[in-house]
Formats: sequence, C-alpha cells, structure tokens
Amino acid sequence: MLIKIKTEKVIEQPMTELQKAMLNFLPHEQVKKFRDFPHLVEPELLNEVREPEIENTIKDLFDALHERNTPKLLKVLQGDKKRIFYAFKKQLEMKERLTKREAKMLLRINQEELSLLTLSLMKD
Amino acid sequence: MDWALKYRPRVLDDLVGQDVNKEILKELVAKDSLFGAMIFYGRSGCGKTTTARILVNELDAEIIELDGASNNGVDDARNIKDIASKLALTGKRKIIIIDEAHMLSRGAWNALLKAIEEPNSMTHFIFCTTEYRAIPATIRGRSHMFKFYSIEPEVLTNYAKHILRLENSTIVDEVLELVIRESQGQVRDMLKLLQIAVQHNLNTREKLEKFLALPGVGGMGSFLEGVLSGNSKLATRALKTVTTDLLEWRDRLESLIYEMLEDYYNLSELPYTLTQTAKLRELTRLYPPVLFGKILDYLLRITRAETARQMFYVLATLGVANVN
Repeated sequence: MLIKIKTEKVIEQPMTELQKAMLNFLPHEQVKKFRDFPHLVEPELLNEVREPEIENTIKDLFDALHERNTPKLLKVLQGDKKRIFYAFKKQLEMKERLTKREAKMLLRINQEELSLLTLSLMKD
Repeated sequence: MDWALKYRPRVLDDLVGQDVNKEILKELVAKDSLFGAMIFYGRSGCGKTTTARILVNELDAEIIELDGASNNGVDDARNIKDIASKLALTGKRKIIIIDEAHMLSRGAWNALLKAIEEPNSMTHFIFCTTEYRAIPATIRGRSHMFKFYSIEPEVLTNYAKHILRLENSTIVDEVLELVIRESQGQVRDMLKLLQIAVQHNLNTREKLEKFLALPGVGGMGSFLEGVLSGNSKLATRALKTVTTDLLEWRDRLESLIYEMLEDYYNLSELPYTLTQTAKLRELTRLYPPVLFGKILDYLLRITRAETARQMFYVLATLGVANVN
C-alpha cells in the first residue's frame, strides 16, 4: 500500500491595514509575516531606513539631486557608493522621459565619469 | 581558540542584533508554527546561514544543507525533493537549507516548486540569498522573507565589550572604533579583528592599521592638502609613502572624502584622533565641496591597477590646475 504523505493547504490571511501600509516600503514576501507581530513593524521599518533597498536609495538620490541638496545626497550615499552610482546611471539610461537637468547629467556621465557629488553641485 | 567559533550562537537568544527576526522566529518555534518556506535575505556575513542552523538546533531537526552554486541542476533539485519526501515518512522534522539560493537554475526551482506548494508541517525550506530578486516569483510568493540587516555599530560595540569582559581583556577606544568600522556590521569579522587586536597587543589605531595593512588616514590628509593647495610636492611625497594596494588606498580615500563632507555638514563626526580631525576639518573649511567633487571624479576613473599609480600622479601633479 502506498503511503500518502500528509500535506497542508496554506491559506493566506488577508493583510491588515498596517501591513498594507508597509507595502509602500517593503516587498510583499517580507510583509506577510507581520500579521501577528504589529509591534515589530516600526523596528523593521527603522531597519529598512538604515539599510534601504537599492531602488529606494535611487528614488531618494533623484530627489537629492533635483533639490541640489548636498547633505541629503550624503545621507543617501551610505553604503556601497559604486553600486549606487552605477544603479543610478542605469536608471537614468532607462528613463523614458528625462528632465533637462537629467539629460545633462546623463550626457556628462557618458562623456566622463562624474561623481554624484559633482552632479548634485552641477549648474543648469 | 578562534573567538568567532567559540562565540558562535547556538540558540536564537545568542544572536547579536536581528531583533525583529529573532522575536518572530522565537515565537514561531515556540508555537510550533514555523513557515514551510522562508527566504533569508541580506548581505554576506549578517547571520542568515547561522540563523538557519540555529533553527535546526532549536527544533532538534534533521538538516539537509546544500550550496545553490554547486547543486543547481534539475537532478540535484529532484534529489532534494526525494530526500524531503522520504524524510517526511520518518516523522522527524527536517530543515532543508539552500545557501546561495539565487544560483539555482530555473529547472531546479521548478522541481522544488511542488514541494513548496504542498508543504507538510515537518519540512521547512530555508533559502539563503544575497539577491532575493533572482528567486522566481512563484517561489517568492509562497515564501516568507526575513531580511537580515547589518548590525548597528552601537550593538556591535556593546557586544565587543561583552566579549572583552568574558576574555578578561581590554583595548583602547580608538582601536575598538577601528575594529567596529572595519567589520562593517558583521559579527564574525568583528570577533576576528578583536581577537587580533587583543592577542597581538595592538594598542593604537596606527598599529592595527599597519598590522591589517590598512591605508592610514594621515598620508591621505597630506595628499588631499597637496592637491587642494596646489602643492604637488606634498601630494606626490604622500603618494610615495603608500605601502598598501593603491586601489584599496583609492577606495579608502573616497570614503574619507565623504566622511569629511559628512562632518562638514554636521551629519556625522570624523572618527579620528584630535590632530587628524583638526587637519581634515581645516581642509573642508578652506576648500568648497565642489573641489572635493572633482577629486571624487578623478577617483572614479581610476579602476585598473596598472594605471592607478599613473592616474594618482596626474591627480597629484596636474590635479591642482584642474581641481582648483
């Protein structure tokens, strides 16, 4: 007689409002487990602020460059600066519409490698 | 004995940092409701595999541990699945840890999918990875992800002090600061460096830098001063004293410039001796950020070892005309 291994059906619980809010910052697979741990949401988000995913870093980087806000730029540039630089360059190359300033940045980066600090201080 | 080995955590409570993950996992273990598939994601050395092994220990489970890089074929995945099914019959809980999971082939993932889709309470998959986006969406959708963050410097410092107490040892603050800095949020590296500093009696920052062949900050300050002030002799003299790998020196110089600017904008303080800090602050007070930006531009272009020294000399001798 064949032995059937008992398997379990996994029913995914609907997300709480707090979890839905978390989705603005964290991927779904990371958020799911917080249903029963609402008190740990804040520390997790603080962890994420400290060590954000590259896509969030790039978003903040665009803001800092547009605002020409050097202190903000320095805050964004925590971690692997080379990785951030090349991810930013790739994002810039993939953007469908570029502002005049972004186009100028891309042109300058393609001509010669420029640091993000120089880009943030670049005049229009 | 190697401190990293001696103080390797064996239960969840021993884990340093990772408080959120620790609390969730502890509760899941206590309630006997650990997820069937989990992704442990984070940069190297943050404790992903260690935590997975701790779970094996806490649950008194059987372990199957595989490296995704060398077991990435369909046959390998089928083997994993077969082993998991057979072990399920034994009634013993088992944890299958797949390290470097992002290296598994699509075929291997497909073979694993059914096992993950139809979990049983006695089998748990843990996929450890530094790149969770490389894991197929079908697997990610059926898994719970735990992100492992670098350990905060304060937490790491407190832990280092705790270890020093256990070892009846002391080190001076500036050495401890360098140990924490160089370990970059990783417990294992911190313990290794701490043990080196204690056992070799490296009681100044300079001694530890020299022992580890780390580029010293003093020469970099002189180099920057030379470049910024137009004193090419000073800059080239500073370059000639570099005994470490030049590309490593370049990376360190880049970090130093960012640190100086962070200090200038009051975002963080320079972690060096009073004399060194005063010298570096003088430079950011005298020269505008745009000049530091230009030096960073030069540094970005230095990527190959054979041309690095040449590029540095260009920066040192001609840099003045271009930079200032």
